[in-house]
Amino acid sequence: MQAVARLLNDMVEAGVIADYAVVGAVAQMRYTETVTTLDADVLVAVPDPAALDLLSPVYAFCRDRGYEPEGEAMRVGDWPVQFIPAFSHLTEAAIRDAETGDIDGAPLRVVRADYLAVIALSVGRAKDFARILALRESGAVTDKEVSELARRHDLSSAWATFLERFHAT
Amino acid sequence: MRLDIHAMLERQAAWQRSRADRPWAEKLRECASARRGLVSLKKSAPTPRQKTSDGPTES
Repeated sequence: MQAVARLLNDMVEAGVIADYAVVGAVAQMRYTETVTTLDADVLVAVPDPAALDLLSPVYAFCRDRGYEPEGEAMRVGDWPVQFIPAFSHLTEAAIRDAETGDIDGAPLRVVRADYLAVIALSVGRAKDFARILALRESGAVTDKEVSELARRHDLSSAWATFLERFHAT
Repeated sequence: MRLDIHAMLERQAAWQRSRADRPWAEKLRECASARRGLVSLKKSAPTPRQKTSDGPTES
């Protein structure tokens, strides 16, 4: 993951992306026990969001560094990395408010636990609900924090349904 | 009964918190290692046998 961190930080420095934050299972593992995942998902903010092919410069940068595509991802060391352009106000805010974690001395921007929970809430698959439960159990988020962020992103109803469904009130 | 469920959930949460405290980088290495193991297992799994001529053949 150190190679991924270096690549992403270099991309920001080179102006290929404006900012980034790891999301999904890789981000979750900062706050919970180890989980299994096939790849590392990275939210990216691009300098020109109106461009037709948002990720072309990202892939070109990776290829210049000798990294090869693997399916829909780029293989960087141990990790297939999926780049996901910010696609909503929620994901834009998640990048903007991201924290900086440490991977053996390399800084790596990571989505905050409350954003991770609310993004999972917005996606709403079984594994996303499991992620929210794990984040709550680990003490990484409180219901109050999730509730407040969900309210700001029009997800209060989804949050209420989650609480009811998992008898989590 | 409900008390038992609460106790079970509390135990699960305590276990989750104890496992969550390890360094992020360490957990990511563990995850990558598990994935390599899984890929290796998949590669070594036997392929389904090809069906041989056990039925009528066209002539």
